[in-house]
Amino acid sequence: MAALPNRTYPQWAPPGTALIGPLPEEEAARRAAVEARLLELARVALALLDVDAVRDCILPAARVEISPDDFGYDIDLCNTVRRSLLRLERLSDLAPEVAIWRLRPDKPGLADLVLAGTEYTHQFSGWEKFPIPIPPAMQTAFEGRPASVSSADGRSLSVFAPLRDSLDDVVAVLELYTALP
Amino acid sequence: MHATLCSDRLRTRPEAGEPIRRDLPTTPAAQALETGFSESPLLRTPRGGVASFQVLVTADAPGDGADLSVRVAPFAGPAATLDRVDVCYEWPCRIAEEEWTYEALVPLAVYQAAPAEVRRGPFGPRRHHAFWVDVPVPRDTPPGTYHGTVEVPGCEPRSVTIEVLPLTLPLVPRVTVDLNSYSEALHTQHHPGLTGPDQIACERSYYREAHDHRAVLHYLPYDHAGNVTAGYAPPLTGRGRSLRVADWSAYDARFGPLFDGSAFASSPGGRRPIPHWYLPFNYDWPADFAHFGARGYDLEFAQIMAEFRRHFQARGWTQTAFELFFNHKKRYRFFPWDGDERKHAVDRAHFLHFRSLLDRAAALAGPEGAKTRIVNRTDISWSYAQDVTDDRLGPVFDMWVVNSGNFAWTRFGLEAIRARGQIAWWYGGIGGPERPTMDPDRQVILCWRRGADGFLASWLNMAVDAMLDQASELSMLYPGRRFGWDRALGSLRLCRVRRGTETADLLEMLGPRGRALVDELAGASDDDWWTPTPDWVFYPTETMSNEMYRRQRAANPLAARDPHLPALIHERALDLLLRS
Repeated sequence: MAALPNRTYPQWAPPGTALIGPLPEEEAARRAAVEARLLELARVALALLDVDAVRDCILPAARVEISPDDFGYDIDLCNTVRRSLLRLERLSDLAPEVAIWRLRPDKPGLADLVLAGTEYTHQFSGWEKFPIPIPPAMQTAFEGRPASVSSADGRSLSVFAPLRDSLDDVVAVLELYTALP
Repeated sequence: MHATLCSDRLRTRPEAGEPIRRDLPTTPAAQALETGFSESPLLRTPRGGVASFQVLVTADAPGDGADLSVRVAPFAGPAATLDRVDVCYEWPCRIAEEEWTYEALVPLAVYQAAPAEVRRGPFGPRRHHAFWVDVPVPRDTPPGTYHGTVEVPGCEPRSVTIEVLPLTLPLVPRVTVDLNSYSEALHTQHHPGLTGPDQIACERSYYREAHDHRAVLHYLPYDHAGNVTAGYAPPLTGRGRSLRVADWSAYDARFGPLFDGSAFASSPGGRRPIPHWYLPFNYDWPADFAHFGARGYDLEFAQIMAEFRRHFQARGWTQTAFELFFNHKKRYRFFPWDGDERKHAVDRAHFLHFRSLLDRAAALAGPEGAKTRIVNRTDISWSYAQDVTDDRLGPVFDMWVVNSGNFAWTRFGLEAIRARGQIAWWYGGIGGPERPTMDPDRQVILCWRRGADGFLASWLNMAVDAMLDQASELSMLYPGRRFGWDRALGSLRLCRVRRGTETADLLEMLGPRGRALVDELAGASDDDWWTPTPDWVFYPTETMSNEMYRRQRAANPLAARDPHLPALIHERALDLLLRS
């Protein structure tokens, strides 16, 4: 039986987009294909990720730090999300770096890293490079629509996708980043 | 031009060629040490030790010193000759806006072969030059008096005497001085671009340089996400039940000589296996964290650990302490626990789980892996007083690396560790070259006096190139690349570490008399080496703040004393041992 229409995941990439396989030679076409592949991967992520766990995995106490060691997760929820991120990375031959971002109402204009995969997503993040000013493409995703952005040198690409919880609220944004082959 | 000899206890200033004021001895006994050396250079050295001194040269005109060919003739004795003499050029480094000293040591031949613009350095042309001389005394050297000569063309030759004592230092230093570092930095920051045998030889030189100075280079081989540095773990094959090491050959070739000691053949630090080693095991290696919480994760972890046990034992690598250590911190956003420096109570439970996996691995390995020393290490401050006395967590760890303050105000912690036969280290303590020259000695003696097994000189000990000119507490080993030499360079502080470990060994040989000697010269009683325990160490750790640490001072009776106190302790220890 087909899923009820209101329970399907949004189709962001062109139909038939594959997660693996050869890419076009021509630069613009290749970039478009990579973007499509990451968007399709983001759609898979909607099925893999428990977004309510994403929303709740950082403990409120982490916002009341009296030492740098006071950042804290709900261990089980964090591991639930992390396991999914690691699996997500393995689905595509682009070897994307993945990360989940949240808004910081206490720090308007900034996005904070919830959890990263096996690396930081290198276009905007890095070693202790969080929170960060919200890039426009990420802002678009927080507003409910996927968006992508290339690095200034054109050698890498990030796709941002909204993550909705069981209330259908956008509570976080998924970033999929890859170097452009 | 003139040349003078100087002891290894003073730093000098390249601006003026005179000792740095903070290093000067303040008590008559210590002043007599320096005066005695100036008048009649004599170095008393136990077998297995290293005799060191400096040659200070003032040239007629400013230059880079490359034309100064300092020669030290081998030291001839009654029945043997001390053939090996290592001469290094002391490289100027800035320690304050208007203050310079020397820190990195460049082998003289390497220095002289370096390009002129490199030798000039940021300090520029200089009249004052310093040369560091090491004369290792092999363990089989016949005791007696050995005479050598220092020759600098254009200067009067100077005689130096080494008295090789009828005492032999232990092969393994009583106090381990650990040079913690991170493995990927060597190839990305210090010597980028090296590959293959060149890379391995460069890497090996760092281990060797540390070992030559009786210290231990200790490379953490993975990052906070759990990615292992290339080559620091053997490749794996399969998954779940079938997960295995695919091939040991490259791993064995790269690290086996460190584990069997052959990499340290002819080292002044003695031919012996490297004493400590971080394993690549972490939350995401060898077990796949995508399966964490499931039985497959546990089996993968235990199975590969068992394979390590069996393999190491089969190769005879049973003396090194192979450490399981989780350096991950949750604030870096990869894992939900602080494996390192846990603060929150909920983080403690996962250590019990990984201990169970270690025990499972030991059972899987059986007698074929029982001799391999797998050490469960924890680095800790916030919850130290609570965990070390906890009936469940206390026995979980084999090695405690404790914040130096916590260590000092938790005397019962060391007693608990000792009662369980575990290893006790602390971390931090050796400052940069702006501190008195014998501060490293002081730290080693303090470590010995408190009864600890060792300490981390700092959390990072490998300098990047810029630190050659502006050293800090984070630099003990330096890259030789700018001098055209892709090898490690030592430093004055590393030489002081070596001397400090020699002193600790002498004190250990004295036993209770050693403690009495240190107490007498430090003007301290047994209790003075410890700080009263603050009440807050038993509060819920979640309520603790850095401010509490800033308010709490750690006792150190060796501080604020004559800067030459470590040398006085050393000399008096020799006297006592020779008399007994």
